[in-house]
Amino acid sequence: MNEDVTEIIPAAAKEDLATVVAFVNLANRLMLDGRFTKGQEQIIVDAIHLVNEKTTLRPKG
Amino acid sequence: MGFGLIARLNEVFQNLDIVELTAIAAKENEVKMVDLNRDQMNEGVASTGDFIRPDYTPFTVAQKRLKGQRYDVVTLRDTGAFQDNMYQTISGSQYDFFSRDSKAVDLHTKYAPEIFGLTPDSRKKAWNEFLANSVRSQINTKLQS
Repeated sequence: MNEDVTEIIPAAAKEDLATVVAFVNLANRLMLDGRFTKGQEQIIVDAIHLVNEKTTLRPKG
Repeated sequence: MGFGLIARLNEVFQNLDIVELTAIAAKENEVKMVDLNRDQMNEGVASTGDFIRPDYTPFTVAQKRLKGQRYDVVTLRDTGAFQDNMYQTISGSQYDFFSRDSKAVDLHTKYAPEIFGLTPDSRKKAWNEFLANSVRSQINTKLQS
């Protein structure tokens, strides 16, 4: 009986990933707009990693 | 990575397909996926969450009693060949289970296609116990490549 893996992925995990994707996209646009200097990039990257760590795909009970 | 790291991260994240990553994770964890389906069978439960029907006949119950096997629910386990030869297939985002045992088609017909597949609880268990980790690991690999 065929089933789709989509049914396995919790809605919260999809939302978490969407949050990270949106955050990274925003950071990229701000970077392209010249809002950040090269020196500030690492701070943003660290923030991206933090957001990724805190939200991405965390198991839900 | 130097300047352009954010652009690189953005590129990776924009192209992430969580469904594709989950299908890969399911493939990588075939043994655990099949174990979940087998565990359900041993509790007499189909992928719908309902008990596997029809019940064993009085003759089968008597035989199972003699063998010291469980007979209060339909486990589809006697010699173990059917369950031991179960496998998972993945096609795109679709996953399925079956058995290489010669009785597979008969059992599939006699009971229901739903003897194969995961209940909502098993899906949740699959995600929490190994699929999420595998997806996370794939994302990390992409970020580091």
